This record gives sequence, C-alpha cells and structure tokens, in this order.
Amino acid sequence: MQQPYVVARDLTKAFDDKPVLSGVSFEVQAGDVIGVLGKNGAGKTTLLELVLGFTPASEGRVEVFGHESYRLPGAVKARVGFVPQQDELVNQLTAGHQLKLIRSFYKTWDDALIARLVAVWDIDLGERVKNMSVGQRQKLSILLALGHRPDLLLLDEPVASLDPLARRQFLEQIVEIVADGNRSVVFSSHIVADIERLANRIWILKDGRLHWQGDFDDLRESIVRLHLRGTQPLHSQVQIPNALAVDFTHNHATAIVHGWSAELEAQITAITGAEIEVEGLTLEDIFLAMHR
Amino acid sequence: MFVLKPHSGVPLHRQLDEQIRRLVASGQLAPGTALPSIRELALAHTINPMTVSKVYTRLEAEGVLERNRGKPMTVAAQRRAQAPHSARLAALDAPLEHLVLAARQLELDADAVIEALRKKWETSDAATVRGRARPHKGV
Amino acid sequence: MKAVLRLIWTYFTATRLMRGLVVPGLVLSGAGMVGYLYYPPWTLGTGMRSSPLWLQSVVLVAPWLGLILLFFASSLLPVIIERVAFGRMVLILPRARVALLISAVATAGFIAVLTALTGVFAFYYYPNEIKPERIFSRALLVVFSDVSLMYVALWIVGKARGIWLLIGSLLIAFGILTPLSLIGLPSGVPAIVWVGIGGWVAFALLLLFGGRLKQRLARPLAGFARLARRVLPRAAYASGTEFPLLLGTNQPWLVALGQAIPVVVAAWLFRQHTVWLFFLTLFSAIGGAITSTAAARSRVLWLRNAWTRAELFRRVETAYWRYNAYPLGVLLLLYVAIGSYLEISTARLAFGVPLLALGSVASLYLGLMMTRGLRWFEGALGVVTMGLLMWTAVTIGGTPSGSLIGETLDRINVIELEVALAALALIYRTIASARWNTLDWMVCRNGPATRAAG
Repeated sequence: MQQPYVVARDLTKAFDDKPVLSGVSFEVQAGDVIGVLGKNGAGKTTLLELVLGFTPASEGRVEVFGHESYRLPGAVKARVGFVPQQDELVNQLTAGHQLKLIRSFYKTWDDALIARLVAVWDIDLGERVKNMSVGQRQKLSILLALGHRPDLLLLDEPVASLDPLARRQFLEQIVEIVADGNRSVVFSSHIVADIERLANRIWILKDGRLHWQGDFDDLRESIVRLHLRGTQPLHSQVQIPNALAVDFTHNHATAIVHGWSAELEAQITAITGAEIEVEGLTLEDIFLAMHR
Repeated sequence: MFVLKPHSGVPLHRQLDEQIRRLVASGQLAPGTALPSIRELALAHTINPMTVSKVYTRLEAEGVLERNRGKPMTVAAQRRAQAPHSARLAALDAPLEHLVLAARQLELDADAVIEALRKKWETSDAATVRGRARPHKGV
Repeated sequence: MKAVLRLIWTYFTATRLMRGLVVPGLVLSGAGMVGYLYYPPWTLGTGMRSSPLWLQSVVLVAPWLGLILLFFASSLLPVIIERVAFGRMVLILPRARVALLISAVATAGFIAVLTALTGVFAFYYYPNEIKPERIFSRALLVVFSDVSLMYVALWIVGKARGIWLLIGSLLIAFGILTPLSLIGLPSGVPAIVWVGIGGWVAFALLLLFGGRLKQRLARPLAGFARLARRVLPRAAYASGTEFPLLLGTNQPWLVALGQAIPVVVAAWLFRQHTVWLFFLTLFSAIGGAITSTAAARSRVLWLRNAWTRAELFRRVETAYWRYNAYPLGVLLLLYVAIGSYLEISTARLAFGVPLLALGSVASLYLGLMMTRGLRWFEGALGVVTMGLLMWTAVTIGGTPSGSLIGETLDRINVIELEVALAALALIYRTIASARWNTLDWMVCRNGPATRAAG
C-alpha cells in the first residue's frame, strides 16, 4: 500500500478568531475519489485551500506527498492540480493563449489529452476569455488543471455552471483519471448526484467539523430509512434511538436512523415491537437527513 | 448489458453484482464470455472504477468469473452446475425485498402474494424469461 | 525559464492590437537607430541640413515612436501580472511568482535597453560632449524606472476601464519622453530612479513574500482595520442614495483625493507651467473616466424603476455631474493655489480654469457615449479630444519667450480652442443622449463592471 497522498491531523483554521475548521483529520489515498459535501459556509473551500497550502493552518498539520502544504516545493506542486471556484483566467487572452501560458509552467504536459478534450468539450481556442460564457470559462479552468497530469486533483465546485452534457463529459474524464489507481481526486460539489456516481469516500463538513468521513458504502449502510409496521398504533411518545427524522402514521412509522447495525435493530424491535423494513437512501437524502 | 442506477438508494456494487450473477445463472452470459474491462465499464456508466473492481474481485473469489492474464475477465466455466442453491437464491434478495415492501404497503397478506406468485410462475416459461432478459446493445 | 519566455511573449502578443503594435514598434525602433547612425539628428548641430525638413523630422522621431509603440504593445503586462500573481493558481503553479517577477523586470529592462541604445546613437557623433557609457547607464536607469512607473500608471488606468486606457496612454507617452531631459543632468541620480528602484523592491517583496507577510501581520492588520473602520467616515448607505450606490458614484471624495496627490507631485516634478498644465488636463479628463461604465452599470436601474431610457439618461447625467464636481473642484483649487504660488500669470491661470472644466465635461459625455463599448469611432474621438486639450494646454502655457504680441495671439488662439472644446462637449452630449434612447444592454455588456453592479 502506497503512502497516502495527503495526511491531515487536527487541522484547525480560524479567521479573526472565528473558527472555520476545527480538529479536522483525514487522509487521501492513491486512487481515491473523495466527495466533499457541506452547506455553504461549512468550510469546504477552506479545507481545500489548506491542503493546497494557500493559507497556513492555525493549528494542526497537513502534508501533501510528505511535504508540509504551506511550503510545497516546486516539484511537488507539479503533481497537484487545482480548479478554483472562481476562475482565474486572464480576460484579454484567447483560450488557446491561456492554455499555452499555463503550459509553460510545467515540465510535462499532455498535448494529446488537451487536444482531445478541447474537441470533445467543444472549446473554441480562438475565443477571447472575456467573451466566453460562464460554462465555457469553467470548462477551460478545468482543462488548465488537467494538462500536467497531476497525481492529486482538487476541485472546488467545478461544475456549478455546466450543462448536463458538459457535466457528464467532465465526470467521464474523472473516471479516466482514476482508472489506473495511481491518481486521486477530491472534489466539492453541490450536485450530489455527481458525487454519488463517482465517490468512493465521502467527507461531510458540518459546522467546521468532519461530521462524516469514510467509505461511501459504509455511509450508505449507516444511514438508512426504516419502515416500521406495528400491530398496534405507534405513537410519537416512543423514542426511537439514533433517529434523525421520524414520521408516524397510525400503525406505521418511517424513521431515518444513523449507525444502523444488528444491535440497533434489536433495540428498536424491543422498543417498538414493530417489524422493520430497511430502505437505502440516496446521498442527497442522507445529506438532508444530517442537516435537519 | 447492465442497467445501473446510481441514484436509487441501492449501492452500485450491489446492483452490478446481482445483475452479473443473474445473467450468469440464467445463461445469458455463457461460460467463456468476456466481460468489459474495468475501465470500459466504468466509463460507459460513469461510475468509479473501484466499484467495478470490487465486484469483479468478489465474483472471481467466488468462482463466478475468472481472470486471464492479459485478457478481459471471462465467465467461469461450468458455472451453472456449480452454483450453490443458496447463492442463487441470494441473488433474488433485492426483487424479493421490493415485492414484500410493495405487498405490505398494499396491506396484502403473505398467502395472497404467494398465490399470485405461483400463478405468475405457471403462466411464464423459460423461453419468455430468456426473451425478456435479452441483453441490450453495448454494455 | 520556459514560463518567463512565454509570459514575455504573452505580454507582447495577447491581443490583435498588441500584435499590430509590436512589429511596427520593433521595425521603427531598429530602423530609427540605424537612421541615427547614418543621419545624425539635425537638432544637435551638424547633420543633414540639406535634407528636407520632413525627412529630418521623420528620422528624429522614428525610433522614439517605435519605442512608444513597443511600450504599448506590452501594456497588458500589469493586468496579466495582477490577475495571475494575486490569484490562487499562482501558489500551485511551480515557481510562478519568480517567473512573473523575472518576466516583468525583463520586459521593462528590454524597453529600457532599447531606449538607452537609441539615446547613445543619438549622441553618437558628439563624443566629446557626453561619454556614451554615461549616456547609456543614466538612460537605462532613468528609463527603466520610468517605464516601470508607467506600467503602474497603466494598471491604475486600466482599472478605470474603457476610453481611459487611451488617455492614460497619452499620459504615459508623455511620461516616457520627459525623463529624457532628466538624463542630461550633470550629476547625481534623478529622483525618479530611486522611486523606480524602490517600487521594484516593494513589488518583488510583495510578490514573493506577500503571502507570508500577510499571515504574520494578519493580527495587527485586522486590529488596524477595525480601528480605521471606527475612525474613518463610512460610505454609509442612507435611504435615498440607492441610485448613486448602484451607479458607483457614491464616493466622489475618493477620486478627488486620487487626483490631488498626483497633481501636487506633478507640480513638484515639473516646474514648467506648460508641462504641469498638460498633466492637469489629463487628470481632469480622468475624472470622467467612470462614465464609460455608466451604460453597463445602469442596467440594474432599468428594472427597478419606472423610468424610460431618456429619463434614465438624464438622471445618470446628473449623477455624474455631481460626482465629477468634487474632483474638478479640488483640481481647480489646487491649480489656482499652486499656480499662484509658482507665480504663474493671472491671465494664464484664467484660461487654464475653463480648460480643465471643459476637459472634465467633454470626457464625461464621451464616456456616456460609449454605449457599445470602446470602438474605433469613440477611440478616434477620444484621441481628437485629447489632442485638442493638449494643444490648448500647450498654448496657454506659452512659449518661453512670451512677448506681448505673442501673448495676444496666444490669447485669441486659446479662446478659439476652448470654444471648439465646448462645441465638442455639446456634440458628444447630443450623441450620447440619442444613443441612450436606444440603449441595448446586451451589447454594452462590460464583463466585470456588469457583474460588479449586479
């Protein structure tokens, strides 16, 4: 097993004494696709910026490829790619010119890949950036981060302005990137469906803490919807343990619980005396349930 | 070949796993048939290659698929004879769950459901089953 | 290294306009230098007296024109550096900050070296007067600093957007020419060199260590900011000022201050009235710079009010008049005050005041005319207006001799010129008014300006 690409321990970041992230610890392994979810303001962008070394941590430590992120050496920077939420393209340049400019900073650049993606993603290299639509600009931004074939790719809301076709093309490219198992992708997005497709690990940020961090499959098995069917009316006085949301209707109840296990099942059966059906939830439902 | 629904609440690896098992058990995927590579399948459905890899590895461990050096995964030979009854029954788990859930919501009792199931069984035959499960073009 | 070269290449070839300037610039500069070698400039004594005047003028001017073109060809340098250096990507691109710094120094240095060389060739045939090495080194230092400052000026002007790139460009052209006179000073290092060097050091420090410095100073800076917020008057939102707020005209004192400082500095640097008034005229025009974004910004007001386009124009016009009044007032005050201190004749001052006012008004309406962005028509008008303003300024400043008859003639000329300017302003207003009646916001989309206005 390779060394993890990113290791963070007890990361804390505060601005003006206001904590944005507290005690966050995580790892990124080779081949991971990590989806970062969180409400606006939960700290997603700050987390990514800390990993990239844009800003130093107030406490704790984060290392990328074994180096402290705030002082990344040039050789390590060449292994990292980043797509910011707000693009940083130079308005006066054409798309082609912008590509050449960024290309000049890297020793290795996959011209064939870029050429193929420019064709498939329908980008006009001769168009001036300031005349491009927001979606085109976002596509170009993504492209700029792919050319040097980074081992670690971090994306902050990369597809917010893309139409469904463009989004699907982008996701396909992510699949290509991680297919060989040596490259990792961390991306934050509000489009939960995209994360649901691709992520194998999920980070959920809530109030500056990693509320959940682990395999997507484990998350799915932990947070489930239960359909309870009792022989007599179940009333709302009954306290269902580990419940995030409960809804009673006469003999039935629906409850979303976290930490589902055989023990919990036994507990609930004991308390309610009802039959239990388990239903899996979509990632969006899971996210909403966590924030009610 | 496969119909994968990432947003159904059912994990993708389970969907893929069940579908492969079912197709193998029913003979749709004959022994020796090559399956798409991990990369191809992942790209076609835009899912994480690790998911496909997990399923392939598990099925290989259970003898449903076999790996050939340098060549794509193929369906293992004599699968039908060797598939344990319990494993094949396990492949029915998901549709059974749905059936039971729907029946409960409609407040039907077990006997009525079993009777309907028996009727359905008798009116269908192997050919119809094969016809229905004809694989789609592509993966 | 690749990055540095690519950056420099980008500075000079980013847009069609730049590309169109680079080649003539290089050609004129090169050919002009050769021209100096073979035809020494007639102004410096012996030379091609027998040649026609126009040929001598061409030979004299050619290389300088070439250098100016080259400078403008690289005018995107400040914008590109700002965009790349102060974003986030720069922290992830390998060795980006160093590459940016080197490319900036190299570009400014390139232009400075060419200029210094031209200077050497200009004096080539008069070796006993001033040594070539001395010319070269002084010219290099002065021009390098000057060019660097002009880049900063370009950057500032670029922020104001639109037509002011042209006007600022003229300011910059002037800035390029003036230091040449400073090169001839007998000894000592001209002040501009210290300013230039200081500027570069500050820029380098900011670029390379700005991030870390910001972290170390974060706490004291935050405290300072809190204190400043409490002490300084806020641009408070008072009900009834929504219009200026949305239009961006609610802080006229900022512009006034921004003008006052350079004016005072210019008075210190340029003791000659002509030159100083020249500068002031340019500044009076800058006051109207914001109006070039008026059309795009007014979009937010369209849906939020029951005004017709014609009404909108009138209100916008009034708003900008009020907005311009502050900087113009400050400018006029400074002009009269400093002018009296420098003992400039009252007559000259009397003509200078309407000139500045006209400069402000004409530029205001020229900016309002730009409902479709800056195109050749507006650009040409801008050049014409600026030319007229400058001609008037020079006429008011007068020639050094200034005899009585000369003064009378000058006076008549000035009146004609100022009337012409007033007429231009009126024409611009008519055109602007007509254009606003058919304002099409999809066409005057100004990118960042529109986004900023919401």
